[in-house]
Amino acid sequence: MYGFSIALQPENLFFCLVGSVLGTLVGVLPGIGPPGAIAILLPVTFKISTTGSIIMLAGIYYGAMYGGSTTSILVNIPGETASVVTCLDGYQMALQGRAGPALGISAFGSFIAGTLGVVGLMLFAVPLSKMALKFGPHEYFSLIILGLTFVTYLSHGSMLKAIMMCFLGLMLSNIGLDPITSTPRITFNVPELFDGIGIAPVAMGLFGIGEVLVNLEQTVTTELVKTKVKNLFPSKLDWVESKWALVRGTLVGFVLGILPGGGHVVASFLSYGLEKRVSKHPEKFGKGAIEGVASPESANNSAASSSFIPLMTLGIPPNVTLSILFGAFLIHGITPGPFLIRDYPDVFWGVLSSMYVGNVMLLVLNLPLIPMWVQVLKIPGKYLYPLILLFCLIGAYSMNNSVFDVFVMIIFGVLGYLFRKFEFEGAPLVLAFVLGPLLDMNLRQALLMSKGSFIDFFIRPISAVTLSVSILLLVSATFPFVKKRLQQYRESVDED
Amino acid sequence: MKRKVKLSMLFVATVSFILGQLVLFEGFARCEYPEKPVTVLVSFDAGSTSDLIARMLAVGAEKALGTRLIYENRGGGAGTVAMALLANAKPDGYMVCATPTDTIAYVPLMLKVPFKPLKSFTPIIGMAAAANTALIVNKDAPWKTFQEFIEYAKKNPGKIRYSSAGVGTGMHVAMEVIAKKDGIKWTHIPYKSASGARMAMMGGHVEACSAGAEFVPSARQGLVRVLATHGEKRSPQFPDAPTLKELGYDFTKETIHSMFGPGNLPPEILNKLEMAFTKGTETPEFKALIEKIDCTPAYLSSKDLDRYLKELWGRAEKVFKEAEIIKEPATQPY
Amino acid sequence: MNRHDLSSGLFWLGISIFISYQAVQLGVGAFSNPGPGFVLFWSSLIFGILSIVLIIKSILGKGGERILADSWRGLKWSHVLVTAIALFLYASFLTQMGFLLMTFCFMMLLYALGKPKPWITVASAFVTIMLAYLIFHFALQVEFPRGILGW
Repeated sequence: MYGFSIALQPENLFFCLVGSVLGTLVGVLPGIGPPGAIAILLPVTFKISTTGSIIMLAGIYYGAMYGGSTTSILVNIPGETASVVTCLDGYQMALQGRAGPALGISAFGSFIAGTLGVVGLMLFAVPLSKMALKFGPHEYFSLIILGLTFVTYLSHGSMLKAIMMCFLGLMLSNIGLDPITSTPRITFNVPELFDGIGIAPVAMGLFGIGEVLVNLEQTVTTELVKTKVKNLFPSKLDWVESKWALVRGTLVGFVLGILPGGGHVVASFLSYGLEKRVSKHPEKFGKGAIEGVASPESANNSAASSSFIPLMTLGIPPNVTLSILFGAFLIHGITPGPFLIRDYPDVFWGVLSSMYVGNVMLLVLNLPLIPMWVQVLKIPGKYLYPLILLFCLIGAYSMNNSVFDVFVMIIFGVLGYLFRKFEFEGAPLVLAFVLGPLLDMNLRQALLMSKGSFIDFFIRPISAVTLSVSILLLVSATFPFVKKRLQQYRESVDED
Repeated sequence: MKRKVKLSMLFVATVSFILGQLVLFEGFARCEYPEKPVTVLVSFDAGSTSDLIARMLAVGAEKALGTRLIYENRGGGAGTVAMALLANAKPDGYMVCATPTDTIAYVPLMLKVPFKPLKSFTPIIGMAAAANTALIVNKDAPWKTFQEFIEYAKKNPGKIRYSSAGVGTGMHVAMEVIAKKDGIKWTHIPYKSASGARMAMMGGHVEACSAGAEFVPSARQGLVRVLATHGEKRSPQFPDAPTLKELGYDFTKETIHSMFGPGNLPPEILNKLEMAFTKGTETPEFKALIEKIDCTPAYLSSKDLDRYLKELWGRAEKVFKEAEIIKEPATQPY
Repeated sequence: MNRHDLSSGLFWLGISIFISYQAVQLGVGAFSNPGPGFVLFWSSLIFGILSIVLIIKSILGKGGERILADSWRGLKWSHVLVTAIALFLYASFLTQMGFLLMTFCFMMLLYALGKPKPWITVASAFVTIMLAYLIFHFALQVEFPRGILGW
């Protein structure tokens, strides 16, 4: 209403466009993420109006969510950590010649989810932020355990191995200086490890480089996709199959985006797991099920919208990108927090409405690009793979100007290759790695608070519910095994 | 077909030639510091007092320095994670860190940290003093004054849990001093950031919070109650709250938010940084921010900051030992 | 006997023992006062147990006659080896040789794997580095290392 009159002013429209385009570009390129792009444009924002700069920076943020899925689908490289999950089914769809529909449902899903997310932001901002306060360490811990339980649903192979990868990810995430006591943990006195291993080199290595290495073993001269690329857009059937996935993804993403600590990453993993769980054909997941793309994509876009809630209402940015945005607010003399809506209504509403506009713009931008992106797949492997490797190398280096990150990525690339050979999966590792630090911190705080007693986890309502759900899920995941064993037992008894 | 190939080759060659020239030209054009953006680490999470102050410097400092400032938050360990990173950085002027003096003078006395507090860094400037941190409780809490709170804590050992921004911060130390003097047992729940700590209390997960200066807006709104402040004098914002000193505790928190570089920074680079950041503190935007977050300007030049830190270390060590919080410093300063 | 799972299981068991040891050194702490090694210790313990389960499963279960080498049979693993080594060399010498030079050599090597005509290899590598430099350095302002030649 009032907000739209601001958002639709020509100069603000222009900023929105710039932000969205740049955001998509950095989203597509692995390694360089929204933080980098926002940091680059930050000085420019000194010269333009407050509202305009926030609009532009916000555009970068969700533009990156759109772009990140493109490389995930086309070449199995997550352009953004949250797009790791999209690699799972999106890339498979691309290999089956369905890259177009995958990209399409991802774009549409992102649009729908992003728009709904903004609506949710408008309506629920204040009550939700109050709810977020109720999440103490016990609740966070239980929520993380729930997220990790979904790991079992991410694996289409051995559950035992998936759980192992999950614990491996947890252990890896603990490398670095302990955030509470500053004790170096498994750093071997290598200073670069003080800050831990970065998630981006790990993800790019495991998924990107690992995939390339595996492919290099085949004859390198042919095209990546031999089958003809069929339809460029999702078919009606695709829509029917994915519509509930979109809805669920949006909801999950919205709720999780509010919680600090990489909400949109967790959201994409969780919604994928949820989809697989409720699907009537879970075996299809990991082999090109379109819901496996629709769901995480909508989740991470709606999470991107809802992550503005803690920033604008509580003054707490829930992730790295928004902290930079926070800094941008400050430079213009605005302190986000409970007073933002009251003191600077035009900024608040203007930004919100521009998010609508931005979503529309991105959809319009991305759709015609789909045929172009699909052409990328036609590049012969012998050129494509070296290029992919180069992008990954540059991406990893450019994050911190650090060769160390490049090394980490390469090591995980080799690991990713070996994982494939020995039938282990990377996705559970990545999820556990992202959640690891939060798990560590919250568990320790929770134990300190309840003085070592575990009962508290089950007394506090939110925590109790979440944990019980996790336990139920774990137990029910073993049902197929138990059933099979029982059946075999009965058969062997019958034979006697 | 052949002609097309030839033309495209010619095109590629031309473009490459032009680009090659640009590259070579670039190679000659740069030689002076700073030739690329400078990374400013912030030792606490975004939104914290250190972060707000550090970011506001950019308005004046970027212009004075002539290059961009890229901020990176690396919270954790009450600032020691970021400082550990800084200690290992090359002293080439491209990485600096903004942190409160707590990280240098208080935390290493209580925790073993992976750097030498008085040796591993070059102090650049001191910016603002944030002494008015406080002990706060929720507005619905049953304790209206500091005395009531202490009485309750004495009678119920182990029941009170309080949050703070980290082990070894001035806020944590203040609570430990009180505990030792009055023989109280309460549980410290460390958080990574002051706002996290405050949120935990507001959500009812802990009973009290030893809070950083960001609590001020919430206190003005009446959402939290200030029981005591940690500074030298009473806070002008909360004149009814007694200071710890008045209440008989021998601890006054001194915190100056400062900027550091890695140890052994070459003098020319140090001068440029010092000058640039000084200009950063002189802008009206910076001054307005300082006032808004209830800090007082406290400029210290590089030499003064160096001297101040050495004094502060000595004083803190003495106070901590007398209050029996530590027997020996956990980290040697040199 | 599933040799794949057996070898990977043993490997992971080794890792879990190593990490448990490190965790204990860090201080596990009690339940009421967890130390820095708390999560590390317990997760490596569980990880170790899981790897033992994997080992047992691999010994008892079927796996047929598959031996380790089967995973690589008939595949051009030499390409993978060369690429992996090239990647490590790239990262090791990037700061010394500078981005342009190092990337040029790297791309040439990789393109050569596809066995095209020599001049195509060189030309493609050249075009690649120029485009990459243009996009990443000028447009996105990424700072690349400059090596001995100042590039």
